[in-house]
Amino acid sequence: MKEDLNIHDEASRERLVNDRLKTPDGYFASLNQCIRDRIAEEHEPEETYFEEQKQHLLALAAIAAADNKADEAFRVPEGYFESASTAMLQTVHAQKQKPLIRRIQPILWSSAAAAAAVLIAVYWLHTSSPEQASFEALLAQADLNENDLEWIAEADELADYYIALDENLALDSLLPDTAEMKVVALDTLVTPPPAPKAQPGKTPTVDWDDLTDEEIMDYLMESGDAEEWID
Amino acid sequence: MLLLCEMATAEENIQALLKTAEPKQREEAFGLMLSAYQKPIYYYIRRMVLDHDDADDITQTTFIRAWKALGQFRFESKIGTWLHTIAYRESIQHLEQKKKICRIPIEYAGQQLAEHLSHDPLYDGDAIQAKLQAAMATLPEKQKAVFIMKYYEEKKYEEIAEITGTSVGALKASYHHAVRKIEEFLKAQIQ
Repeated sequence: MKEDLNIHDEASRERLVNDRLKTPDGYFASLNQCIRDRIAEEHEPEETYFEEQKQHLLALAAIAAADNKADEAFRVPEGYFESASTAMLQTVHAQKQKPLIRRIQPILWSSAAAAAAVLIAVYWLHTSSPEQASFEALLAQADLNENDLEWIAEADELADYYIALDENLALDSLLPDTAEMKVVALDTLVTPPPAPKAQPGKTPTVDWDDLTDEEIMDYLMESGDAEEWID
Repeated sequence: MLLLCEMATAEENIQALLKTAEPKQREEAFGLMLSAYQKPIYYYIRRMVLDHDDADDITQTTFIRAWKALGQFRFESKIGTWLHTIAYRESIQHLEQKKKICRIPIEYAGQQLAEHLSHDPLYDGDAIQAKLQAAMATLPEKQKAVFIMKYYEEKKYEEIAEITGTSVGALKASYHHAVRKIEEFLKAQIQ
């Protein structure tokens, strides 16, 4: 069977939903009555309802009576509950009336005992620890031979070497402008040659910058300072 | 149209009687409710469960529940919508219980139902209508309920939302899914 059926189409919808769901003859009339009957049934008590209720109440009364009998079995002296209440109230009242120091006394005692225990423990730990041995005593105990002494000497030399190396590294790590300052400082160590005395009738003084390297060298040779600067 | 007018009148009368809050008037209101709504409620339930005996049981339960709760009716919705809400819940509960007992996989539910309908003297539908019922049997209960209210009863989404306690957006999505599944089922069956 092949049929052009589109569920979205209104004509198809009309055709699809028109299937008849039949009910038995006179169903709705009977349904109406049936519902009413069920409601009536639910609201009408059973014939035995009142009898059951009576029995139930009697049973409850019997339980209550039994409870009373149980209480009667344990008798108390006359006026016991009144006196007991008074005694309890007095105890509470007395507790409230105590001064503060007396109320916190038990707490204070226990706190003091705990603090004393802690102090004793600390003192014992401190006194029982071994004494620090002196360097001389340790040295006397040490069993040193020739190899050990050589090793110590080498270690000292190595230490000196590393200290010197660290200093050089520190100098190399200086900022460039700082290095320039260092160079300038070195320049200042060079004693500038005394300016030639001005003689009347001669040319004025010569500036240091105007001299050539050879002239400077000659000057140094003459002054005897050349050994300091020429390796 | 006449039926709608009758329903509207019945609705007004029932509400007027209920507002008096007197036992006698309440009984009268319930009588009106029964005569006005027993058929729509029955057929809605019948579409959900298909079997007449099950539909009969659920319809009775629905009206008995309505009677018990009539004193607490708050006039926030129409009586018809309120009754539909009870019927919807009872039907869903019945179908879920039945599913637990029968334990039939949903893909075989349609096939089994088609066979059942062909032997049911109280079902008067042709082959294609029976196939639609079979397709509906493959839907989850709530989706089926939405499809029935929209496709068969042409209720508005707002009213369905009130009955099912869901948002209109969720209902539209649910209906869309239901239609797509039914379409696929019918195409596969007809080809």
